[in-house]
Parts: sequence; structure tokens; C-alpha cells
Amino acid sequence: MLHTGIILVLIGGGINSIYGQTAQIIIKEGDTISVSKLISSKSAFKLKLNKFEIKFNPDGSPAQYYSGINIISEIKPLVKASISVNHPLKYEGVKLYQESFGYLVVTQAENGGKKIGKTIKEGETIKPPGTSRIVRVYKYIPNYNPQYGMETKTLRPDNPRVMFSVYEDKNLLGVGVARLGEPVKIDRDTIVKFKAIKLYSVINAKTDPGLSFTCIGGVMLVVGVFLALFISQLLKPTNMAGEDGSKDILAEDNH
Amino acid sequence: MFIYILAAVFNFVDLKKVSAARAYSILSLIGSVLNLAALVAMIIVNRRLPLATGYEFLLSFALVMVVIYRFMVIKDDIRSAGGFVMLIAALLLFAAAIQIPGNYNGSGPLMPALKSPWLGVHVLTAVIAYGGFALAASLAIMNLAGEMEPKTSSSIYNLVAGSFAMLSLSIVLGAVWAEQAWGTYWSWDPKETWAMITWIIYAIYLHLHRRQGWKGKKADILVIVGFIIVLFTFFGVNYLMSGLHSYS
Repeated sequence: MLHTGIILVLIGGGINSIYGQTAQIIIKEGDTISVSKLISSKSAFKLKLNKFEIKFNPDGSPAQYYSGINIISEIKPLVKASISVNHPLKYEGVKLYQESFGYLVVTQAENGGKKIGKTIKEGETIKPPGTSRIVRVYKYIPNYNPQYGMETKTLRPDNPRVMFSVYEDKNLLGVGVARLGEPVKIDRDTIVKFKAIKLYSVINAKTDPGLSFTCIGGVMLVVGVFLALFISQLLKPTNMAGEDGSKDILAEDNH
Repeated sequence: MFIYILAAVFNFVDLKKVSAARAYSILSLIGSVLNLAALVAMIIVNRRLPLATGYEFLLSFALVMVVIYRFMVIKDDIRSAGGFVMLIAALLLFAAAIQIPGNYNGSGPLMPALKSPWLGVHVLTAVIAYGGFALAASLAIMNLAGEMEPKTSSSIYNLVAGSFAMLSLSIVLGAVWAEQAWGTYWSWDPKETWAMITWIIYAIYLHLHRRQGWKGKKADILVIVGFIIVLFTFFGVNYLMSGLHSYS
């Protein structure tokens, strides 16, 4: 039984590696993404992220990540759900997992009367008007503390800062740390402001057609181990030390 | 609380010498009690079982090994491995003690990935399995050193069998949890891979045990090798490699 279990697990795994699908959904609050375009499900549906929230512990470390979502289907009623780590959602054959998240910085640049706005990810750049200089949002630090340098002290945004770098013709001019909303002078007449932070959620969508094989296989594996090693011991009251004894016991194991 | 833990660590440093039998009994008993006290203190302070960090794992591991050993001493009157058992326990707790500075914040709230009912059973079965394997290796070493007692071989087999069952359960439960947390029941993460290697080594031992040529020396060596792999699965993977399991 044990060995059959192992084979089933391998079959399940094999089926999954060939037919199983996985897709990473990166979605910001307010957006809707069609899941069925990324991964095949029993029926078509879309996912809307209403809110991504991090609940914090008293010490500022994360307690849980929640993605509050709507599942919009053409044929089924609207589903409102919350996905968090260790609490995935199963829908129409697709399992949705809370994988990770990220930050977006709502940035504004102005020169004279000209203003532009861009919401950018960490590492991306913005080209302010009226200057050849470029600003890169290097990193968002939720809890800035000089003792920790570029690393945040806690995940909870107790002292948020945006770390940025300024370039001219591919030369790094300087690096700075700004508060949210604080005007930063990039050039003679150019001001950049990092106005707000938005969060995006990374949800992993997966299908696993071989899962039932693997599950049954896993159960058989464990039961098989216990049977092979112990039940026979209970049936044969003689002690295990004898050579004949142990030979017979293991030979009896009919998988 | 830290005093508890420090005391548990230092008092467990015990003697390899069987001649000082009484001193051994008293010291090892005190050590076990303090070890248990430290674990209980952690349960009270953290309001969960001490199974989430490497530090907690080591303390539980040491205690389980010693407790199983006590059972065997009472049941089968096997005393020879006492020295090694204590030595391993002392080393484990020493490894745990080295981690204390990094753990002032460690006994805190669990990170989201660890918040699952599967944590308890997955780690508990692993602790029991490791305790058993450690003990089996201790007996095997004594066997090789020539201090054989009549029931040692069968005891080693029984220990390995029981620990193997626990390990199988631990691996499968780990897979179940992984499926729920990350969507994959197996990701060839270093810890998963080395746990599987450990499993295979002991499976080989169990299969070969009935064969004539494999009793005695070769079997003992295999048991010891298995435990070395266990140690690597725990320490090596944690400290030398990065991956999903690095925090445990």
C-alpha cells in the first residue's frame, strides 16, 4: 500500500507538471483583471481588488495580509471574499493564493506651470517637465530610522519615507529621502513630490488537475508506512529481534 | 524567562561518563526538568506551542530525545547510550543558546505564513522523529563502540521504525500545509529535498534490516549516517541555504 501510495503521488505530480497551470496576478486596488484570460477555469470570471490591507501586530510586524476581492462572473452571482496567507480561495477549479504585495508611489512633478503625475513602482523613473534630469523612486521605506539605513524598522508605516535618486545623462547626481508630500527640488525650477503610497496585491492563481491523485497517494503512503511497520508487529506477538521474525513480518506487507 | 532558558542550557551539559552513574542520574534529571520548564515558560508567554522557531525546535527536540530515552531505560534497561544522549542534548541546547541574542524578538508574534493549524502537527511530528533518530544513532554508536546490550539491535530497529513513521507523517503534513499556503505541495526547497533524502536513507535501512549481511556494523553505520543527514537537514539547510524554510 505504501508503495502504491508513492506511485500515486508521482502520477499526481506528473499530471500537475504537464497540465497544471499557474499565473501571477499583480493587481492594484480598484482594478479588475480577467482571470480566465490568464488561466483556464471552468467558467470565465474576473477578479476585482477592492482593498489590500495589512494587519499589524503591536510591534509593527505584519500579522496578516488580506486581499478583499470581488469575483465577477457572467453566469454566477457575485462573490465577495477575502484572501489571506494560509486561506486561499477556490473558485471554478482555480485556487487563488495571497502571495505577496508591493508599493506604488503616486508622484507629481512640476516646473513653472507644467505638472505631470505618474504612479510608479519602486525602481521606476519619472521625467519631470522642463529638465533633462530624471528621478527614480528607489525604495519606499515604511518606517524610516537612520539606524537601520535603507532597511525599514517595521513594516507598519510609522515613519514613511521615499528614497529616490536623481540622474542627469545617466550620471547619478544624488540620493535623497523625502517625506510624503514634501516638495523636493530636482533642478532650478523643478519640484517633485511623492504624494501618496498605494498598495498592490500579488495573487497566485493555480490549477492542479492531478491533486486528487496526489492526495490519495499521500494518505496511502502514510497509512502504508504505519501498516507495514506496526500492525504486523501487533499481529505477531513474538519479539522483533529474531531474524526469522523480522523477515516474515516485512515479507507479509502486501502493498 | 531567559534565566530559565539559560539554566536549562547549562545544566544539560552533562557527563559522558557512566561510571559516575548517580551523578549522571541526578544531573540529567535536573537538566530534563529545566528543559521542560523552559518549554512550559515559552508556552505560557507566547500562548502557543514552542515549535515555530529554530530555537524552540531545538529545545523540544532535546527534550523528546531524552524522554524517549528514559522510557527505554525503564522498559528495556538500556543504559549504555546515556552518555551520548546527554552529549547530543547538550550540543543541541548549545546550538540553541548561541541563537539567544537573535531571539530577543524571536519569541514574538508569528509571521502570516506560519499562522496555520498545520504548523503544530507538521513540526511536532518532525520533533518526535528527530528525537527518535538521534536516540537510535546514540545506540548505534554505542553498539559500534562495543558496548552491546542484548536488546540494542531490536531497540534501534523499533526506534527507527517509529521515527520513520513520524517523519513520513511530517513530510506529508508539510506538503499539505504547503499546498494551502503557497499552492504547491512540493517545491524542491532545500529542506524538502534533504528531508526526502533523510527519508530514503532510513527507508533503505528498514528494507535492508532483514537481510543477513546487514545486521550489526553496517546497519549501525547506516543509522548514524541517517542522523547526520537529519542534522544537515536541520542545521545545514537553515544556515547554509536560503529558501522557504530558512526561518525554521
